Amino acid sequence: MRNIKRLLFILSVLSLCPMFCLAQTPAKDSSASISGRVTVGGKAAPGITVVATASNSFFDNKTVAKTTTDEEGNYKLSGLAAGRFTIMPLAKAYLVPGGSAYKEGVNVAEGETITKVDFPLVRGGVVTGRITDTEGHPLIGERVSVVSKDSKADAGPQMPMLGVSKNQTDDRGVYRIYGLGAGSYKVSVGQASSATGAASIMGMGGSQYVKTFYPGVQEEAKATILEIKEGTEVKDVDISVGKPSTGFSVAGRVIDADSSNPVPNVYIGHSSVNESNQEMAGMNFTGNQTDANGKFRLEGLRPGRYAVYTFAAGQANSTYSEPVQFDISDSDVTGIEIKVRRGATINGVAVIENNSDPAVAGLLQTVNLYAYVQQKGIAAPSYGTSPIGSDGSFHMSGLAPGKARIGIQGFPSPPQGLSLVRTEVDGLDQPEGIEVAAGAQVNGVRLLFAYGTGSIRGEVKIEGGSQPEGRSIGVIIRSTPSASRRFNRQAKMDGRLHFVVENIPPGTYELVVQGVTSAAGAKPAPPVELLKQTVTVTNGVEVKLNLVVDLATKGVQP
Amino acid sequence: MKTFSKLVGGARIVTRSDSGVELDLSHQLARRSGTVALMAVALVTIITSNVTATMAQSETPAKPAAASATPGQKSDAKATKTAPVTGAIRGRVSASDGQPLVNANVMVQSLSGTPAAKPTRPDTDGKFVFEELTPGAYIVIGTAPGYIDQSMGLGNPLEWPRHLIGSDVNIRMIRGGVITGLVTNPKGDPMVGVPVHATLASSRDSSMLSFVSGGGISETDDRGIYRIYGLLPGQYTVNAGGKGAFGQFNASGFDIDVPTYYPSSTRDTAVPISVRSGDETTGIDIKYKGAEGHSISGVVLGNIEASPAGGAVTIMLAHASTASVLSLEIAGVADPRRAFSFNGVADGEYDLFASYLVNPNDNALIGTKRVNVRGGDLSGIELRLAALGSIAGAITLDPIKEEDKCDKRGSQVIETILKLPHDDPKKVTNQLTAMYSGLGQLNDKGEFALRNLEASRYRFDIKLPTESWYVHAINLPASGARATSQNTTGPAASPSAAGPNSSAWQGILTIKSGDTLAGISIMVGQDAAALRGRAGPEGTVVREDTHVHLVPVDAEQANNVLRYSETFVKRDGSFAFTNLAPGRYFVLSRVEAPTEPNTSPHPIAWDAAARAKLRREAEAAKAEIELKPCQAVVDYPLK
Repeated sequence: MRNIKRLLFILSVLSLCPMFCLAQTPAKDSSASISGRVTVGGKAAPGITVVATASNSFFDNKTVAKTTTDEEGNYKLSGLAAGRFTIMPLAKAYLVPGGSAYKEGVNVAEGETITKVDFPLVRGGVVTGRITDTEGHPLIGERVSVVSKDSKADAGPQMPMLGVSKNQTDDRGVYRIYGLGAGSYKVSVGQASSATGAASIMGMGGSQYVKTFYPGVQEEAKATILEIKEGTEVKDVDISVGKPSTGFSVAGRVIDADSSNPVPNVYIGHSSVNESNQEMAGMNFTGNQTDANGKFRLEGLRPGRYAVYTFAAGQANSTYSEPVQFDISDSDVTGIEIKVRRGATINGVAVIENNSDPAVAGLLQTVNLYAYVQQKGIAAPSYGTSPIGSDGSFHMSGLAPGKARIGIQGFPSPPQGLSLVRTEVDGLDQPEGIEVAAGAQVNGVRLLFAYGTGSIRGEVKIEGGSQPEGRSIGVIIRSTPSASRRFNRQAKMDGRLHFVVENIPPGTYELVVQGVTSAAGAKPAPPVELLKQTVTVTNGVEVKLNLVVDLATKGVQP
Repeated sequence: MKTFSKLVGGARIVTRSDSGVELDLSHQLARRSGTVALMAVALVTIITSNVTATMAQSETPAKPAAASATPGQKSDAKATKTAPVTGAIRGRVSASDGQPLVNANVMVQSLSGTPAAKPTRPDTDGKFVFEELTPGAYIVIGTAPGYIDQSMGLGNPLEWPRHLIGSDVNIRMIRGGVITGLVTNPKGDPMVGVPVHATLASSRDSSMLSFVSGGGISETDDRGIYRIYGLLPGQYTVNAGGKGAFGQFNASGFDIDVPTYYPSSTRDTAVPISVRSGDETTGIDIKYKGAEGHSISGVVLGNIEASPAGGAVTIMLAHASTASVLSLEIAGVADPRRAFSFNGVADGEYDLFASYLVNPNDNALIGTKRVNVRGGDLSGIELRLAALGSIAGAITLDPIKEEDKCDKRGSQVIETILKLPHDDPKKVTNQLTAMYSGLGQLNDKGEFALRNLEASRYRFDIKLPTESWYVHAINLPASGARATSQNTTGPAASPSAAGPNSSAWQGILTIKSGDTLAGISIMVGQDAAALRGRAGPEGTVVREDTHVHLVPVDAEQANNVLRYSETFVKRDGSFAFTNLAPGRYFVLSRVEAPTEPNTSPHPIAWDAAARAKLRREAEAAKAEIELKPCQAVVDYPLK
């Protein structure tokens, strides 16, 4: 269900924001600077443009400063206000070896002089070739994928808007992918047969061609592995694909479970079904909806097992459906009948605690509440939303039975400083979400919000050894275990292990420094707690912390 | 939800079709890297709308409810059952040399942009057919990699040809053109990863679409080379730098710079590049300057009833002289700040355009401002949103006995195409506003609604599905008429300059900012006459710009513009009038000044003074004809 979450994540948009962007605090002082050196193969790289970009929201990213490296490869970006910046040399054909990153996030404190944000670059490798169909016609605008030989080609969908127009063939069928780190790669084009794990929204990310690996094989194991070295070009990596597969269609209708009446104008979603673990993979939302007679039809499905369901959401929606499974083998499927049932409702009020500022109180009217019902196995995603009335009231409907977790969304982001800290039903805390039975009416829900403008800024120093391979440092600010109000936020870290968390409601929190090991594909290991301390936050005040983690005494577990 | 989809017109298709198809289609509409751009558009569509609310709203695309949320769902369903009339649209897809394009995909879209049938691939001869279509005015779109369905051009999708059931559609596709070149820095080194845009310079209409669709965008590769393909023939300007493709929200690093136009200049001195169908224009090398630009920032104001998280205000920056859109910003409508900021702006004059669409059945709110950038940043710009206007009403057929109807086709009211051009032929709808305005959305009950009209004087342009019908009368609601008699304070719409004893339709509809005018009644007669003939015998050389006019003989109809008709005499001397109300007419031919290019056709009779003059001339000429119901005169000799 990870991908469904991903979709909701997109739908709820700037719940994205806490992860991707940091609002710029009003510029008081712009005397901070960032400097460093750009080298290529260990030698000074003069004349390289280096820029600082800032993000105000997911949609608003701008370059705010630029400079050029001198004869020694040194650069200095000055005139910066406090905030988080991304520093990048405009040298996309190059990369920092051992990683693909040629940009660096930096947390800048007011007036801070930051040095040694260096970019030791090497020239990346290039793969180029031509994609044609069986008759030799070029495939135009087809996306070519170059992945490391060990990574699974279908390791989940890419976020459709990240790196969009990249790696596509031109009008001659020619592609050219550059800036690749040294290593072994597989090149492919097209879409995996059952698109397992691929999420598509409005059909994004699809291809009409069956996934074909260089030099023209559909089995991943038979793909030729390309060795790419620093600064070299591998040419003529041509792939010929088979005929476009328009796939098969599935048709049916949606009826009301009680009255058997057709249900018009509901959106239809579908997912692949993994038969071994009985889980749905991916979530495809094509924008198709039922007609006046409740009929629907989806096109372009590849062979495989699927589940189809209604995808209704929003305040006016009052129903949910149970997914209907079917197999596509070599023909169209018809006669699918999806039954919708009246969903549960959640009604209550939202309040901001300890607030007397009417401007802050008004923030509740700028957000939407959403309830997401988490379900296991083959189940349609269930998602309800509601605005908050001026009296704090809200009403969500159409929820499937299960645990409903409530959150807020705003556009482009929920207001800074507003946090949902407690969910109550009839005065009782619901830390895991609200349990809703089929068709139940849950009243007396109380959502407690906190508002605050405190912040914590600091740096982590590692002593007594070096970090194990693949482990990175994270900082979390969270409520204490005994607190009746919950708060949990990850700090933005930078390469120097400087961190910042802003817009924290006043209170006493636990600050935890963690070692996080990320292993590709494998189940992530639980984070290792390296340091924990208590911090008290007050409105409008920035707490400054210098934290030292002594690895000799802490957490050097394998 | 349609904020963006309307913006790109065709993108609406993306939001409502099946996955396999929309990629193909979006590719076509967006031409070239457009799939991507439209993917982004679709995503932005989701994001900028309150998706959940929109989903729940369950709009019925095939039956645009004229009067928004009418409680008519069930009766609609019944109506569908009792309207078994269907027909086919067939045709052929070919390349410009006439060869069938078997690789193409063809789709058919209803008036509201909804796919009306499963898309199809043509047979080996390029032929295709869509069966069992209900009556309506359809768009038929061909898509094929590397080819462009020229009928759509890059212009406003509302102007794309419409087809009724029973039509034969010939889709001629041309091979798109290519522009390629190298971008170097002042030292002559290739520049990598720079966005390069090609903008069609020869059409004002295109700029928005080419911006949004990623119309001509590429990024230089590791050798500094860019390649923009699938271009419509025309004159282009090409620039390096600035933002990346629409929908790429990351900072390119070049966004802070003023874009450098080919060969190495500002926009004012850019050298245009000619692109021909299927041709590759090479060597369009750009010496990148990289001068930092200025910024324009401000806020969007306006008392908007915003639903929380209910979407975004989009703010566009366009060149004032060319209307080409340079950049787009998104601000949350519920966000108390509602701020925007553009960077990398060169000195010059610009139009800022903010818009917000509450929901697809409402009028958009827009705000515009012209600003001048001269050597410094502009901040504190305020864009105030105000609502656009709309009209609604119904088209009804005059009751007539079955045997008196002259239409043998079984035409339906829903096949009518209703447009509202400006009264002033020189007035061009703000191109950005045009993105929101629609064709008359019409349902099978004849109810229509036209939304997002800017304050202006308008005329009706009604295209009937059969020659056997004519527009009998257009009546404004009583409130409109009452407002006219008061003559001053805020009439929602009024027949202009109407004399007290004249009830005839004079054709002008005045819409003020935010007006909504419902209850317009368009009455259509079902026994139209036709008049065809020749100017002189075979072989007569006819002067160019010879017009023929029909002027009502009945003095009571002297100011009824619906009774006037006008047509050209073709070079071979023939002329034809159709869709005429039965009655007596004066026939007058005269040579007139050619209409200016790029203006909408403007019949003489629309102007009161010209109409009076025309009538005097026609009376003097004394050529009169009486047309009986359903009569088709075929050989009228023109004097």
